[in-house]
Amino acid sequence: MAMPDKQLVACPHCSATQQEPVGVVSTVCRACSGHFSLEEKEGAGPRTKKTKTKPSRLVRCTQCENQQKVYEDALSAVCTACGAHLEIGSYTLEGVVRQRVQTEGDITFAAGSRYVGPEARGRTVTVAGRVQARVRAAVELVFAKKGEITGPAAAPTIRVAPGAEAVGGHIAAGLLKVEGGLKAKEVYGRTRIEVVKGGHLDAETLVARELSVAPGGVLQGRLDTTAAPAEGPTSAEAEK
Amino acid sequence: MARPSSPLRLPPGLRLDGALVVRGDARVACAVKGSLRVEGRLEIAPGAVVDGEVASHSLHIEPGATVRARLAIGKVPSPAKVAPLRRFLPAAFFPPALK
Repeated sequence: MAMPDKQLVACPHCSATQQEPVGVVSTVCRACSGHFSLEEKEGAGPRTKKTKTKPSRLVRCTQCENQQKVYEDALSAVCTACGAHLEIGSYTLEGVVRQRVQTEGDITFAAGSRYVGPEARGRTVTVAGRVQARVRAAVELVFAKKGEITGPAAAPTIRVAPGAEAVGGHIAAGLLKVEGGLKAKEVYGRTRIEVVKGGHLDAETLVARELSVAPGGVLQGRLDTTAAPAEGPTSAEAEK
Repeated sequence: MARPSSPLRLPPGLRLDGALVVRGDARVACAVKGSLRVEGRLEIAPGAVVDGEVASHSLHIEPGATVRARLAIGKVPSPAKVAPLRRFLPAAFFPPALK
């Protein structure tokens, strides 16, 4: 039996080329794992020739740290390196939630919601409800409205939104920007703590190498700059 | 009382022990132990060592400063609660309005 003829196709996501049998309607890119169609539309060239592609984003495997590109609106993916199933959808949580919330997408705890469970982990995490758990955001953690986190919270950037009356326990951030109200037990700003006009930060303990409070901002607490390492903590320290 | 136009500068090498009140802005680069109350903007420069209590209208602590203090920023207590520290400082360190 003769082998089917091959054709060279280009991935619309990363432009990598690969051989595919003639006649296939779709395939998965071996370079970026993006799915694309090879069907030809009437009066148009193959879809692989399209210049406009769906927006994509980078996600990191929670098992092996491998990074790969996925569609912006994808809900799940399989790691191209280790084969692990990845949760990458974005969620808005309302009411009482007890199931695990861990995704490479965004998480919003809506006002009035309550989460009790294992560590909540996402890309950007917005807390307007009550979270009785550890919270970790890969990019940004936002306290909004009457957001409350009773467990440790860590993110490269933590922002207290204007108008918020938030409550936190142990907060570890690279940059902490306070535009609303935040009352916390311990605040650790690896790079900087910044309270802008209208912001109000009340903490028992503050640790930061650099701190600024603009006119119209309020800050209360005991500060110790010597407890902050010169180069800042590692991500593992931030998770404490 | 008129505010001094230029900030009070406390250069490195000074060591202040007690309570210091500044009517305007201040930039601290020295060692201060005790109470520091600034009615304007307070800047704590690299190399400064502040130990005690700090109150000011606004604040900027630069990297390299050592601060172990209770902060009350944005809510400055009334002058009557804090005794001035002028006796610890040479007159040259006070702006004309404070002399």
